[in-house]
Amino acid sequence: MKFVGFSLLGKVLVEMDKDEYNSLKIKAASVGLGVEELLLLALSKIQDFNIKRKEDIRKRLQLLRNKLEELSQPSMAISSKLAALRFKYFSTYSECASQSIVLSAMEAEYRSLCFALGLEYDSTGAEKVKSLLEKYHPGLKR
Amino acid sequence: MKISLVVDKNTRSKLTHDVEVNRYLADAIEQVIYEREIEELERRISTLELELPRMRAEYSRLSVLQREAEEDLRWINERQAHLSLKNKELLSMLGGKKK
Repeated sequence: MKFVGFSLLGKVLVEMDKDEYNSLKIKAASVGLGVEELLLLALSKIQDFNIKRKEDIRKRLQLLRNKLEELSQPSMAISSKLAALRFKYFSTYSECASQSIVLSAMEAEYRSLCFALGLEYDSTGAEKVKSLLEKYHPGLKR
Repeated sequence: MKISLVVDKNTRSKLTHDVEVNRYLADAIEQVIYEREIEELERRISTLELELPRMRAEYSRLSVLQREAEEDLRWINERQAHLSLKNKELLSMLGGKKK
């Protein structure tokens, strides 16, 4: 690949063979660019280029790759733990929601039996059942 | 094959001065690719740095809710077992009274 000068219209001419073009196309695509965009950016950097800068960039790149690796592992771990916990919570919550309805019916039965038998009804449990119904069925109208 | 590119005045003047374009072109292309990769890595790192504490906070919030729900379920089961016996007992008392 080489810079061959300027066309009559003042355009920059870069010459390359097909293999070079294809390889450049892949490289450019890997960073979200087209071949022309990549060449234009590279040409605009020609004069700023120096070996030290190249080394600095390589070091920075390696540093960032390592940092990403360090962050990715805990992120994947917490993400899968979170998914498992969400599922577990959803299942426990659903069980509480359905069983609190069953319990509420049993509590009502207990109350009416106490009433029918003329026994004192201990409402301590009923208060808790009421609060559970409110918690697991917030929209429930009673 | 030749690729013709429209460049801005600044780049054009750089190229027409005493810069050895061909000596540096491949390196400059590499530099552009590295810089783009660095931008992408920085973007992903910053997203992860924001997401990690958010996920950790969500995990501890859900852990608390899960513990509460487990306690509630335990209480519900115990109360159901208690009422099941109690209601049977009261029903039989009621049956006896009716007779």
